[in-house]
Amino acid sequence: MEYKERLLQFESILSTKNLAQDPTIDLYKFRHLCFLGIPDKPGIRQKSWKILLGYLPLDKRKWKKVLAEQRSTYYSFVRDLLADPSEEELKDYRSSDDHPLNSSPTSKWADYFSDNSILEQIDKDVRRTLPDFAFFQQPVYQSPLSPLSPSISEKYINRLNGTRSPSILETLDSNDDSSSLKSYSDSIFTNPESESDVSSLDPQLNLKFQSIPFRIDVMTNVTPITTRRSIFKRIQLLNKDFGNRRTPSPAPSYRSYESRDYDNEVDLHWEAVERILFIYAKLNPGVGYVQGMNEILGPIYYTMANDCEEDGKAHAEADSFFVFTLLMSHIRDYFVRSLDTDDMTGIGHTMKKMMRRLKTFEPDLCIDLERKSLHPTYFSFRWLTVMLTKEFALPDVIRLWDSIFADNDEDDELSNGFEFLVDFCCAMLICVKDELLRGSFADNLKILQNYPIQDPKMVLLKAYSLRESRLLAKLNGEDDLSSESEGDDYEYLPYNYNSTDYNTDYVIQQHSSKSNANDMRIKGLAMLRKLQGAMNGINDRGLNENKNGIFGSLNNNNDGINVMMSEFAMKFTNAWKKNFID
Amino acid sequence: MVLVLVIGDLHVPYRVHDLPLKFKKLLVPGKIQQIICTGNVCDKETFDYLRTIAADVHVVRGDYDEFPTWPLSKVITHGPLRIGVLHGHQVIPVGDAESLSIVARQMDADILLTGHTHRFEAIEYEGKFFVNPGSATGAYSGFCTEDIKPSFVLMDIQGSVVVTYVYRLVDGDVKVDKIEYRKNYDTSKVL
Repeated sequence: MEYKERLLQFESILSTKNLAQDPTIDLYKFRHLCFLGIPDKPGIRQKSWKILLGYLPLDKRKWKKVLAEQRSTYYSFVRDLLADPSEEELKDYRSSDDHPLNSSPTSKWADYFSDNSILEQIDKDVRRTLPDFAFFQQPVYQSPLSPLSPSISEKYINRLNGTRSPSILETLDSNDDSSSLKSYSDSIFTNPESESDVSSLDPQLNLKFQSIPFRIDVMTNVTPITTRRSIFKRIQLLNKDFGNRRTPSPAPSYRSYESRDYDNEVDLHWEAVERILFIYAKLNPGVGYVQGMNEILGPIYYTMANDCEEDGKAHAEADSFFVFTLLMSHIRDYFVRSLDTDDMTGIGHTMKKMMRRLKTFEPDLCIDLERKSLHPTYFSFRWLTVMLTKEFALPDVIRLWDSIFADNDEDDELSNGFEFLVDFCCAMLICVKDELLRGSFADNLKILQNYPIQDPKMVLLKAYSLRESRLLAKLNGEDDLSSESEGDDYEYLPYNYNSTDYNTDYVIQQHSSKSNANDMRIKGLAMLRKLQGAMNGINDRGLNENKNGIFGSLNNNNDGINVMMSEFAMKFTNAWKKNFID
Repeated sequence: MVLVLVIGDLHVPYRVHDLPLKFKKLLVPGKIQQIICTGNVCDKETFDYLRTIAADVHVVRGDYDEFPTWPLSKVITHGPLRIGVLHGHQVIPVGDAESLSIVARQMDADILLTGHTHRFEAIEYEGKFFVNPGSATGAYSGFCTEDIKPSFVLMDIQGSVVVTYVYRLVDGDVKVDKIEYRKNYDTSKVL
């Protein structure tokens, strides 16, 4: 589809102008649209992610209300969860008999000390999030809308309130904050389409102006949150040589301390990220904070903070928090240690699923990895937990996430939703297949831990085709490509089917270990593939009927196997053909 | 917010063999950022024990300490607060508010921490705050005729506000009291 055409479609779906006519979004259609990538035009991806992850409801009329509610919830979290115990105590002095060395679980101080250890961990990791990216070191966009901005002068608010709709540009012109004007012009003029097409400029402008009155209403009751910086003060104390975000001042003298106004200091982007993670850890004590969450939050926050609308920009932190929470609800189990070896969920399960899927697509590669004892934890653990953020550059990651979020299939109760992530990981392996088959354990580890393909486009195409054949197989009832195999006790790759498989295994081992001749190996692999296909067919039928009975009879019946094999081969080739045509 | 432990007059091993067990249970690492010791720890083992509670230990020399290199007095700054530390055997009469006030003026301290009397005391005098944490082990002292109770002090310093928690061992139970001191800038600007 043409880029412009797609952009138009996105704009019409996300636009809030024709609420009366078209109030709801067709999620199914929208997912399909997003799956092939969301246009990079500012403002679109932010909304799309929010919809895909379920932060914004499908009914566009509810958006404003939902956003306002959720954001105020976040700000109340900031207000309540970040306070120091002694600061609270000072307010109601002598009312409590709590003391710092109290170790009883009800003590505020005990909470405080346990929080500190989490906070320290978060702080270390957040500083390492995308360190070569200047964005996170920059100050957060200041807006009178957000209670997380330091208190904005009354004059500014009055001025904005005084001049309503007719001359809003004038207002923006006259205020000191030139960046807001810039953001408007950015979104309107730097876009090639709007430059060329004047008619499209008009509705956009209208849209912008519509959001202004709403903004002024809200602003009147925004009070800055005083506790917003308290965790950074804590960090400073916990980590004297490391905690200062600027160069540590030599021996804080009396004067400098007084002149430094902590509460009016501007947040930096990484500090906002840190705050989100800390609040998430406090609200979800079961998961807490685990390394890697910072990597997940990074792209989300980056995307949200680069919204083009004033409203979205001002509340980027609150929005990121909820988008992150929703995303975590899908992949939370990856971060829980006790679930690592769980059969139904957790990272171990997903890695098994990935290898199973790889086995159906590329059995020889899978066998080869097994032979070289290259366990999936060595490479795919990181791919899956941090959702590829470490493998590709940020813009590519964001693009990949479009597809991953869009493929979130909630009908399938067994999966955690992000099946495409698993497809993509398989595709990553398949794309470097030749190297992997050639290399030794050490070479392969190097390849997989430092993935050689920088441009994910090729991998993405491969992943698309894998996904399609998976879906096709699912439609045809051959659910083996992604299904949960029964009796999940097999560790790495050994066959979980039935005793007949051991023959296959044996054949291959013989071939691969004894004969160095290439053709022998190829023969063996081809044979395995054939058998594999047959087994898949058998296994599915076996699941439906009496497994052992069928197996028993087929073992002695070559015709049966042949029939099954040809059937499966037909389906498979069909699937591939379809991909090639597309 | 900084938590500072003020402790002194342990007199281990000459008068008492160890800290009370209940205090040892309270004093765990990871909570306290700084220890200020008013002297008379006496032996190295006890001093090493203090360093296990917090790495940042400031200590002054008392009349029974075995460490000739320790300073006799020290000034520590916490933001706008200057905290003076002295064992107190140099001040005569011992524990007298007016003589201590002279020392505090000399050191230009807002808070003066002393020991030597083995009796807990926290008074505000001429706008300055004087704290004596008492003896953490409840060691015998010739100055104090009454029964000596083990005690130490924990100060929660936030800017110019100090909340002082006093831990006392009374009849085998730890009792905690709270005293607040706020530095008043006008009184300290006397010239």
